[in-house]
Amino acid sequence: MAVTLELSNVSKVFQKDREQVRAVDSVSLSVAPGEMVTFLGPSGCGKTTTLRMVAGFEIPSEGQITIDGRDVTNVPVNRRDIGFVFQNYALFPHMSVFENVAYGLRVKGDRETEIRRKVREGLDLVGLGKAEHRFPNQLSGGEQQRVALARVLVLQPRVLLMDEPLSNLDAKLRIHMRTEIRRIQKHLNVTCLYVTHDQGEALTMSDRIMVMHRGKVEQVGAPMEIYSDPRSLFVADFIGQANILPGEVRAVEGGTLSVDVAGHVFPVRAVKGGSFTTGDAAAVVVRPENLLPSDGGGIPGTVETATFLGGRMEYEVLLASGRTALSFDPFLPGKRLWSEGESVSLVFDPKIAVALPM
Amino acid sequence: MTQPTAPHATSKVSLLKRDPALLPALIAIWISLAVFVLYPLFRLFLTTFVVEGQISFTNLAVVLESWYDRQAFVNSIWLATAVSVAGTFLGYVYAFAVTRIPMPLWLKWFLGAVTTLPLISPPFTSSIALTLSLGPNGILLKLLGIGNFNFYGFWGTWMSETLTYFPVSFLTLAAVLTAIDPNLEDAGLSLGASPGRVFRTVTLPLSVPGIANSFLLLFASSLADFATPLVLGGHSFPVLPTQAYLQITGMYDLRGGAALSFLLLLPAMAVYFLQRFWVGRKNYVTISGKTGSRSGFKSKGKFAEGLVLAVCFSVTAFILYLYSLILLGAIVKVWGVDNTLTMENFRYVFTHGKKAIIDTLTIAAVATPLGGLMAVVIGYIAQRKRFFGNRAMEFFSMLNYALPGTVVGIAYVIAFNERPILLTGTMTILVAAYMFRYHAAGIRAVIASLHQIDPSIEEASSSLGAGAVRTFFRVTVPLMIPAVLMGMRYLFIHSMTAISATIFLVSVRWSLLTTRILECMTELQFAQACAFSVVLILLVFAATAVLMGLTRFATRRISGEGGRN
Repeated sequence: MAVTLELSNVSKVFQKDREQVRAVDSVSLSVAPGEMVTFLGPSGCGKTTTLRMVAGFEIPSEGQITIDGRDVTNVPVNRRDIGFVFQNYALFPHMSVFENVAYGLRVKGDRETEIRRKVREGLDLVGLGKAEHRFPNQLSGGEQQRVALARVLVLQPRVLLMDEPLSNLDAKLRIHMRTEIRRIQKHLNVTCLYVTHDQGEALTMSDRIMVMHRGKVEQVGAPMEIYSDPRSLFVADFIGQANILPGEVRAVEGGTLSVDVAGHVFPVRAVKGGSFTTGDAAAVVVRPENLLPSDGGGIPGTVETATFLGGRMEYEVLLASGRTALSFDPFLPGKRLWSEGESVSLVFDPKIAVALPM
Repeated sequence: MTQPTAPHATSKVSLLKRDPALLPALIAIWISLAVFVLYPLFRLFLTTFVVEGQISFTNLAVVLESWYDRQAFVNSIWLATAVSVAGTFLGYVYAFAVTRIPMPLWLKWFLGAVTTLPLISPPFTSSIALTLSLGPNGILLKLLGIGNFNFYGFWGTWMSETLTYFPVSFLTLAAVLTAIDPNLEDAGLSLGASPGRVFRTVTLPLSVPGIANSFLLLFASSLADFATPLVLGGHSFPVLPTQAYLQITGMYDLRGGAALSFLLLLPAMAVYFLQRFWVGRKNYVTISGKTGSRSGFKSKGKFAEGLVLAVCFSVTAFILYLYSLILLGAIVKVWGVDNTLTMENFRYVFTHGKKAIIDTLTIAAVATPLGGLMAVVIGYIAQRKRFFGNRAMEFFSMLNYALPGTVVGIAYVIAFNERPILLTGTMTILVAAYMFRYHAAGIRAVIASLHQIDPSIEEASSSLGAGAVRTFFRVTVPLMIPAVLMGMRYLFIHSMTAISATIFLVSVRWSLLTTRILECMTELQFAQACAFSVVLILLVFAATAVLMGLTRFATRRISGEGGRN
């Protein structure tokens, strides 16, 4: 049965050169049974440390971690009933694939026939049924990855923890494996935490994403919510590509602001929980696919580069403010194209954009 | 807000709680280090500096006032400098030849094999052979027609020590030269520099830390060498280790011996600290980093290559010549006088020397596994467990190795000659002397191998449910085994061949092959000395072959990059 997982005010303080570094700062999160939550953020943001605290490799300096309602903050890793998949796979190089997968079952003291059956099942699940007599150094990166996965899955852990498991694979295999991992996770209905710095991975795989920055949680939400309603400029910039257009609030009407951007006033949705008054500075976040080139009526600028990408044109436009904006225009034969050096006017649908405090 | 020490304290407590086997292991290590490393050294200082219950410099003053003892100090430093310069030069030439000059594989192997001979031989071997060829009635002297050449003294000692210790430099520098990214040299060539210029501006500067390290290693070895100056130094060339030995065994002056060994300890410690804290940090070469594959060798210029190879081959030939002299010396009646072949000397070894053979083998066979176990535990705790006193533990476990054997021997004699710890005449004292002196190589190998094993492999084991003890024995130990076996090989070789510390510790009950060789030398029984040496070398060869075979068997499976990338 899938279990809940709860982190409340978890912090980790490291001593580094006589200075205290709060690697993880008051992180709280509750994960529903069977849910897959990814921790996303740039390197050094504390996501791996948080995961390692859930695993029990690190002990929180403050806060509490509960699995299925039971406090496990001080329970050693080998009694937590978790499965951990390492970035470098951490297969035992002196054991065959079979012995690697059987390791945890032997610790549990299963009978030999039982072990045999479960290892076979586990290897079949990851599509490596024929590799059991080989050694880790005879396998490719993707195969090693799948052995590492099978090794924890045969134990039917209550919580599955993965630390950037795909970052050592090549691009094509990475895309294949992320659907594979998601399929298995759903199939087994296991609660899962997944650390990555790859937003594509986070957006495609997770039920919810927790974006972290400098040890703190920036935002937790479903992938679409994070993309369309970023709560902070950091999230807006980190997830996908974003144009951040500075402006000034002219009027406030409920959840909609009138924002002056480069002399044009747009009615823009205010970010949830944001409070604005007239005269405030605001940043309007416009995704490039929402910022389209036109012949007039928008924010004026000059095309710096025009790149054809097959499905779309990408324009880098130098605005009067000195900033560059990125505009994606879907390509259709016969459509108006702008060339480098040409003047252009950028328009966007203000209903899809969102305004954040500066 | 957290208190500054709070996170530290909690992690320490839980480290012990999570790892219940850690505390007993730590206690056992610290007790044994206290008894066999710290206590003898402490007693040595007491004997040197306390006279009739008062702190006093009288003992030291007596030594410093003696012209002969001062001369011994100067000679020791001077000899060590000369040996390390010559040995490092020779080692560099060999390392360069093997790593940079194209030659067939078997020739490389051959050069490597010949240079390991001095490494595994008892310390007298080259001294005996040099005496036979350059000493009185020496065959080389006769051949060259030189009548009275006084070989004893500085020149003989220097030559013998250089030949004995340069292989250490060769191994160090070959590793350094191999690790230099070949792309760097290629880059130099591609920028238009000549091979000589690339050597001067790229290869040589990059190998400076290696050269410094080799220099310090040889300096320490020569400083501590006891056997060579004892045989070849003579009266005109006293050095500290022999002087301390004669003071104690000849004049029964324990205080004078202690003071002399204190004088010897100072430069040795200086070298140890330099090596640990200066050279250790200055390494440009990362062994683990990914380097480009070695592109084909570029010629370094015919003349330079020829010169390097000429030096290598003549030194190699000379070493082979010396070893064949030992073999010849063992099967003739009286060297240079009666050259009829005989098995008499070997018969002597296996009758009169039988006890020494059995004793030596017994002691080595006991010290080797114990030292190996000790190296595993110390190396593991030092590298893997962040624990208070870790650095100190590693430091003290290496201390006996860094100290000259003479110092350790004298300290043991002083410490274990009376209650509360009376060990004189027992096997324990010999085993302990070897263990705590030569497990250092094992500790280093274990630490190095643990650096290669990513901690995530052990974490994987515990996340799969295994406890600390199971993880250690099922995962960590199998991965360390090649390193441990290498350390044990080193320990075994030295337990068979070392003499400087144990010469003070042998007794009627326990005798050693090396001390038997020394006795033969002082009684001018060269033939028997040669026969003993041959037997000892063969025993060491056989034992190392067995350990090498085991190492190869253990490495076969875990070689390659499996599980690491």
